[in-house]
Amino acid sequence: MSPLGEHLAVAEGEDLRADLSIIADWIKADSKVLDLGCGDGTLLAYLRDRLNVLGYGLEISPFNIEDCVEKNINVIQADLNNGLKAYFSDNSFDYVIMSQTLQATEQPDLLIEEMLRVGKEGIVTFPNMAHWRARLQLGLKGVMPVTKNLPNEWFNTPNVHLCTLNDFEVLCKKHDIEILQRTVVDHSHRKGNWLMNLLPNLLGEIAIYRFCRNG
Amino acid sequence: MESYLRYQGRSFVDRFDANTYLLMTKTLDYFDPASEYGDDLARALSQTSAHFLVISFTSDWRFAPERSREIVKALLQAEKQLSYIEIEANQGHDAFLIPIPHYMNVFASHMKTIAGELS
Repeated sequence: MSPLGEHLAVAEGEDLRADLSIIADWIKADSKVLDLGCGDGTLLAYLRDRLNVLGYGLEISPFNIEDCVEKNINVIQADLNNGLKAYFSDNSFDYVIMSQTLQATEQPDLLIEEMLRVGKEGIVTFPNMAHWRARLQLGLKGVMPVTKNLPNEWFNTPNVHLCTLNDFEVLCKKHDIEILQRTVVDHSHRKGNWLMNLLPNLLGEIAIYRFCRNG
Repeated sequence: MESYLRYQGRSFVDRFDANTYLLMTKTLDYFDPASEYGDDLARALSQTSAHFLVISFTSDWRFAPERSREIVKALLQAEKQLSYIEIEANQGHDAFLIPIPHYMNVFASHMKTIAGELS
């Protein structure tokens, strides 16, 4: 029995985060995937074990990297804010994924460009700032939103570039990017969902996009 | 104290030819695994089947992180299984001998995986 047994159990999909399980549905078997800000490697482990994906992750936190190495995930310690030029050549991946990371990067627009330089398709997920709970808090209470999905106060949030679905789509248009698929995970629409019961604090409103270079 | 150091220094010089150091340093400098593969490191590494773990230490000038990143880039080009971690350390080249927690954890996990694959 491999010492990775307990992690494989996680990768069996029973409690894969909602946005991650949607991403997994969008990815073709036997493909090559780069995960920017791969965290503890949960998604890459799932893709490897279920879809035979050749995956690589970029991660900055040494603690997350320890988790990845424990799961036998290919992980490279790097700061996304330095771009992808140091390691990756054009068109070397089928998919470049960035889940719940875009809003915390210094230059999201440049990073999206980099995703489509390195990969044929990009997939991003991010918290939707226009979710009604966020709107209520800003519009009626006049305070910066703090929700399940945006748990930090304005002074300690890592999210320096929050956006809405509309904002993201305007940016795509401007950069000549074609949106291939869009899903919104809305916890009010997924009430009673087994995933929601399992990970209630993760199933707020999250936008998930798959996109490619136009034409 | 001075005579102790003089004694130790003398016995070291007697036992060890300083030119060895020069030769070893040169050998290290001139070692180029890509030279027989058209200076293409990715091609040189393409025949390997190992699962690589590349570790660099921020203060190591002998094997600087920049050089390790070159190896990582070549391994990525060759689509090898690999992980890379840069350990914050101020012990210079000797850092690899120091039990730095992140370093030890990553190294131990990697070895455990290999042991699991072998058994």
